[in-house]
Amino acid sequence: MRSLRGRLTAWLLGGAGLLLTLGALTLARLTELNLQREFDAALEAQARSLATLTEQEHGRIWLEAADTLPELFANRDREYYQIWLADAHVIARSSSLGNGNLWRQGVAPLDRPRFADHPLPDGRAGRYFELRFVPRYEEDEQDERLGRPAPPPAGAVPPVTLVVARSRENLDHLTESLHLTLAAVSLSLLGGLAVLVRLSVAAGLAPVDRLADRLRGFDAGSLDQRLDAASTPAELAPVVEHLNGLLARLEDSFTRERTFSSNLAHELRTPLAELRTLSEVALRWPEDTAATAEALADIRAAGLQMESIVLNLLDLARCDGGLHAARPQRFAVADAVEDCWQKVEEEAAAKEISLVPEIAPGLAVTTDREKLDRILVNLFANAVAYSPAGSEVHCAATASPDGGFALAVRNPADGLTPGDLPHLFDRFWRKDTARANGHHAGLGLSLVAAFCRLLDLRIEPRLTPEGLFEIRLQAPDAAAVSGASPPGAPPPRSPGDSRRSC
Amino acid sequence: MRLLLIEDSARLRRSLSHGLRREGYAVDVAADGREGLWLAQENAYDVIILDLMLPEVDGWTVLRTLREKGVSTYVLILSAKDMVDDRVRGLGLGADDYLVKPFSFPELCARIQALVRRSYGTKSPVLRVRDLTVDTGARRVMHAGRTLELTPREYSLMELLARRAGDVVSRKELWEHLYEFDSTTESNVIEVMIYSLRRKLGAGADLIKTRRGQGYLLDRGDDA
Repeated sequence: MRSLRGRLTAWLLGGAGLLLTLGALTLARLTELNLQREFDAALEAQARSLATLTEQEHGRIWLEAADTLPELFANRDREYYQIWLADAHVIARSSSLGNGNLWRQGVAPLDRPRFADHPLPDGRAGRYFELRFVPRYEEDEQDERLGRPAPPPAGAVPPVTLVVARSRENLDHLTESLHLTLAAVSLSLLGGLAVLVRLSVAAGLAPVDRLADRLRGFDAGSLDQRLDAASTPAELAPVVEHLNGLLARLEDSFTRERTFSSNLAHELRTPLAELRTLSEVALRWPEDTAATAEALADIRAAGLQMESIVLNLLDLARCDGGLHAARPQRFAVADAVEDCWQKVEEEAAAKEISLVPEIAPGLAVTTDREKLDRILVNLFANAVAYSPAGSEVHCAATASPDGGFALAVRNPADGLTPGDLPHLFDRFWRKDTARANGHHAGLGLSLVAAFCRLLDLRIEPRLTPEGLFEIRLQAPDAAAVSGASPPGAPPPRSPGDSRRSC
Repeated sequence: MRLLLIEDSARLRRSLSHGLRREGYAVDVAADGREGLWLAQENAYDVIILDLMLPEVDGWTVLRTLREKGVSTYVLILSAKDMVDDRVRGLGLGADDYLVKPFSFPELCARIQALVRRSYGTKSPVLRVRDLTVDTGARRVMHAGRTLELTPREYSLMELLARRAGDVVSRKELWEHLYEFDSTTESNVIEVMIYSLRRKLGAGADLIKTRRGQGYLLDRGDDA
């Protein structure tokens, strides 16, 4: 059953029905036993009275005061008695029997009465009480009063058997009525319970219904809304809390998606506009060969810029999709730093920016050289692009105390504020929203972050107290670092202890 | 006609300024908002072509500042921002037209022409002064049914005189509308071009009158 309401109703009604049935059965049984006990007690009392009236004297046994018996057996058509001597001779029987005999079980133990259900002589259901006893002496009362010695022992007189029977029609009718009444009451209660359970379940699940209605109202345009946790029942609070968290993440994801798409479109619009204008102007005056040649060079540059954006996006997509695999190798950090700086050397030279390497002597690491190169080139390109002319870019690499290695690129970056740091790795984010520099689409640091995740490098951007911008990479793996070059590895270059102008 | 192009993309700046100059406009260029704002306040332009996402000072601020300072030059926004909100905002701040990148160069020229017409209070692209006809759409000048072969700069001079027909246009004003801010052209270039125009007009050379010490005017023939 998939319905919570149906499941709750079924369990509650089933449980209540079971308890009600058990209660009714128990009540019926107890009442039945009590009625039976009272019925038997009355039957036994009648029998005991008859036994008391049964006397003997000198071997003769009789039922005394037979004239009082009609009072005892007022309901003659329903009650019977019969007394047998040990030799089966009947010495007394109720008038209701006529000449008939009562059923008896046989020889009963002395003074050990027995009850039994058996049909009466007239065929109706009857209840029997059978008692085997020794009748008392007639002088008993007088002897007691006069203080005479006790009569002879009971064994000297043969015991008699008394059977008293009574119709159990009334008892059975009463029991049957009781059963019917209890069944009717139980069914009525069960019906009432069904209504009550339905109402209770509906009231109890109302917050769930409200939550479901609220959630049905959510779509891509209402992701900024949240569920009201304050008015939510405690049982649903974790669900609402989780859903709100999910909505927040979804909204963030949608916002990023929209921003990304918008930024991508904008990044491509500019070079596309350049391509179109360059080509249209060149085609309008084809005779101007110098201008056409210049336009072709610009068209090529715009194409390269678009290619760079697309390739960077492909790299990011591959990183996101886990399609890039790390291929560790051992190499000297100083070599990687020098090789990567060479790739931005032209731009650095144009701005008279120099690299200051601060690499620990002999530092070698085991990681994916190609990916680390991509990281370093992007960090250097970023540093060169945003550092003022004539400044320095510091690159420090050390073995960290916990066994890993740390690599930091530090440069002046005017205008960068602490509030910018959380956005540094956002795709297409740039401090200056203008696309003045066609070489930087705002994907470099996103790629750095993606490759760092791939290489398990922790990345921390910060502004130093001196106002410099620093990006620090930390490799926590102790196995990734060694103070000496491994056998067969190229000898690490000596650390750049002198400032190298680029 | 003199234009100011404020655009941060170097390639687009080069290409547009080249094309517009070939169309006969004098084009000043600025690579950022600060420089553009300064040029716009210092010089009289017929149209300013303004990008929005600019370094230093963004295009919104440039436009707002110009309008606040009372500069009423026609502004055409040229931006990659294509949302309706951006267009509404730009036009609301006082821009006169909005063109989204990428765009067609002929369309840009047509829009600039439309703004120039508005700035001189005319709606027709064809200007007529006596038997002289200047077709600003085709950028062609005809006199007495004969098409004059003019250089782009000569055409621009003739168009300006035709737009201001009957009014004296000073030499300085002519120069400012024909040459860029940093132009190193000889100071007598206007006289040289007037001479050339009169020569090409032939029998209609007297259409262009000289007001000594004041400037030149295109004679509508309704003078007393």
